[in-house]
Amino acid sequence: MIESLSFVMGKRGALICFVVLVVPLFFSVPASAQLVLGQYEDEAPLRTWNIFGFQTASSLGRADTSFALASDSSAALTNPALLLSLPRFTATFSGTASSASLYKFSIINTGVLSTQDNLSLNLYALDFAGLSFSIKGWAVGLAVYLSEIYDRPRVSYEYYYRGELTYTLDFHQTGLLRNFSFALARKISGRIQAGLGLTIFSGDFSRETKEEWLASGISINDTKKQEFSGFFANAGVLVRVTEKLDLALVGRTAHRKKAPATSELVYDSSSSGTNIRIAGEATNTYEQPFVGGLGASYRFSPQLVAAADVALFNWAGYSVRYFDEELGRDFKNTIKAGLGAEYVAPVRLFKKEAAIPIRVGIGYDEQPMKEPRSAYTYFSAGAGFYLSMVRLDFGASFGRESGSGNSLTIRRLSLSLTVKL
Amino acid sequence: MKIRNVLLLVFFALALVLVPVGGQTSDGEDIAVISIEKTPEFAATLRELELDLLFEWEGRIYVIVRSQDLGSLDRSAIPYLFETQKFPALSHPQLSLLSSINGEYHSYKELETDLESLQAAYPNLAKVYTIGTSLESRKIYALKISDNVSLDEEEAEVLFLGCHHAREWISVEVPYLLGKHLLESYDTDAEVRRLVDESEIWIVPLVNPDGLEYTIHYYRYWRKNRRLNADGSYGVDINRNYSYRWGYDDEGSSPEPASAVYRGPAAFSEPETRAVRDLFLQKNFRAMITYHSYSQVILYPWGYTTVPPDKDALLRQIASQMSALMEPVNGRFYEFGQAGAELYLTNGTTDDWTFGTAGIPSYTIELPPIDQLQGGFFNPEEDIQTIFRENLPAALYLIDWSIQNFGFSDSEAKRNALKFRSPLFPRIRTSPIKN
Repeated sequence: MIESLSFVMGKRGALICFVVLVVPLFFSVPASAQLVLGQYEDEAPLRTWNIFGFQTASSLGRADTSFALASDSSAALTNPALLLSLPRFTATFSGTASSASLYKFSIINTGVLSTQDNLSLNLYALDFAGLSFSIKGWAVGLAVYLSEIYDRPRVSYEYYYRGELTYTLDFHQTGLLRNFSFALARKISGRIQAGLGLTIFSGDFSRETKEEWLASGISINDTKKQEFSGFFANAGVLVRVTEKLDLALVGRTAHRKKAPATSELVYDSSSSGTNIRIAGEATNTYEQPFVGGLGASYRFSPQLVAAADVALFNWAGYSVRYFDEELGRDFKNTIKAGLGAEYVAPVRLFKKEAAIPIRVGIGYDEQPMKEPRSAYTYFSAGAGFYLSMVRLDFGASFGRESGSGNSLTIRRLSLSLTVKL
Repeated sequence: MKIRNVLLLVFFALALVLVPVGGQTSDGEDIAVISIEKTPEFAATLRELELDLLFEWEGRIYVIVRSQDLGSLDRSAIPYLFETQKFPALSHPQLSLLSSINGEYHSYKELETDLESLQAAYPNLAKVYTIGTSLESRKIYALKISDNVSLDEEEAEVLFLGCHHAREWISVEVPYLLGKHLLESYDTDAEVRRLVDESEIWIVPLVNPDGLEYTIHYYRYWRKNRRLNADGSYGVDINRNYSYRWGYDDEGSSPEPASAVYRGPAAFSEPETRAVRDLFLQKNFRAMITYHSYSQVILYPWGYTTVPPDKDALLRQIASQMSALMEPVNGRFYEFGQAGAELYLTNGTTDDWTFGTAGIPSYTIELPPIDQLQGGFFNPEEDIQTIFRENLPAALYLIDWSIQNFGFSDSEAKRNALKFRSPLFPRIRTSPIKN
């Protein structure tokens, strides 16, 4: 791989590419701390249903705006046309600390185990690695990233009778979706550039509910496992309307998330020797929605730029086939919108020209369930430090949900390192 | 703009609307292993039926059968025992690998499909009615079986109910299989034909569809319906929600919403019980069985008190006959008795209400196993047919009793019950078999 990349970008670039792209493959799993809940279905990604592309620290600080303003190679995942706006070569990797609060999920607060307050889940992950480079009039983007995490707060319940542990109930759900993307972009005319991306994804899901009656030696174990796979395309067009104004049109195909799945329900009584197993296999499918979006960026001055994105998620067409049955998901289409700004302050440090970008944003993220109607309003901020070929960005966002009555919150902190040549 | 640029734009636009397609389903075949006593007469009949013989052991012939083969054996008056549980290597993987998330048990959708299939296959004998809608908008179905099924004839009506309690999966299967058996055997079994012709049999195999779905997808031991109570807890025990002596005391049911036996804020507060009530009040049922699990007992009113009802002798006699008919099939003995005395106090139950309202013989049959250590609310998939088969003679007996006593007084009915000696089932073995 290094040899083939060396042909395109030289040995130093190839080495950076290898480190940035391949090494994170072995580490890009969420380090689970303690998780959360929400009125989420099992397949609901943590934080929000509306996931399109990936936001590294710079776009996170601008309320996820990324359709018409590029920061790094993550542009390939939303608007590949923006790859042409990047330096000749960039390599970025990013890590995230996130937290979400949930109230209803699986057996939690749906009748089996109740909590007085929301539960929270904290996750830490090295979740993005990507690069971009230009060659013969084309811009190329490559990325690997975690898009969806299905973890839930692990819940363990113990019941003591007269000081003796007699019953336990343990709920544990984990899962993720890992994506591999390739994108190309080319200038079509003096004012128009277009890009196309292809993403292949894979992932897994596991949910286990285990009950034990210790005195009688009875246990019940309910396990569901899924292995996700699929692919989708995304595309974008950027139009330079004026020297200051860019408009973007972006989209992602509707696609099928396919998941060979197994289910196993086991009753075991050690004292009576009774063992009953009810097992099933199927290929589950999740029909993921088409996403279309419009974006704009306006440069007020060389230092100040504002960006706005609006995306429509076609959740009304969402359907789930789970162990050969259609599951009811009464969803509506949703809008996610963001408005952000970035000011880059030039500074001089260690006798070198440097820059400190400062970013703020506000966003609205409507969730697809018709009942309860629910949406997050979120605020974001970020900063960075650019020195020579290295960029270090930090972004944070805080969102609060309204509509469900549970005042769910999401927090996200991201740190990204970009090397540009 | 150059043509090349236009083509590029078209290509990008097409990429946005591409959608992959595909999908698959699977289904399993219903098989079982039975054993038959080795006699020259039975052996000759087995050869005629061209069944798959496995081997002989301790004077019995072991045979692989499909559901239609059992009908042939019944018609040939050959007694048999289900032995599938002795062959886990044969039966278990085969069933489980082909099954869905809940194995061979029905989900709501699967039941809906199968009931519609029965109606389509037997349009003159079977008709599916929607008798109500659950809290989560699932339909509660009733299958009516009778000749001239579209007509409301002057015939004895009998009601069979299943799955008031979500986790009692086997209680869906027994009434469903009863309906299936009646329809599939109608043309070939003269006794079944007579019962179907002379009665109107109503089967509601799934009273609590929301609860059942919750047990399949989230928590296997969920019991109640899916009512979101005022305190944030979930569920009303719909077998404590009927109006007869509803809330009689706090021992037989609970006023606490979080309790597993929460009786609801009022009698018939739940759409599931209202559906059963409305059906019951529209008809003139002569007898009723509601299936539950587990304990392996036949219970009759009253549940709300230990004081016997005034028809105790009749109720006891019918229960005794049913138990006697069930035991020879697989050797399992079903205890029987008044619910409040035999098991525990309950109020607001189905059978107290049907008995208290209409005075008809009303039974709760708690299906196997006998206790929690034997599986509790779990039954192995291969036991579905076994349990149905042993409950079949009891159900047929009650239908026949209802026909025999259609229009009779209570005293006449009691006499009929006492002199009724299983005329329908002379072929069933009478010596118990160790399971």
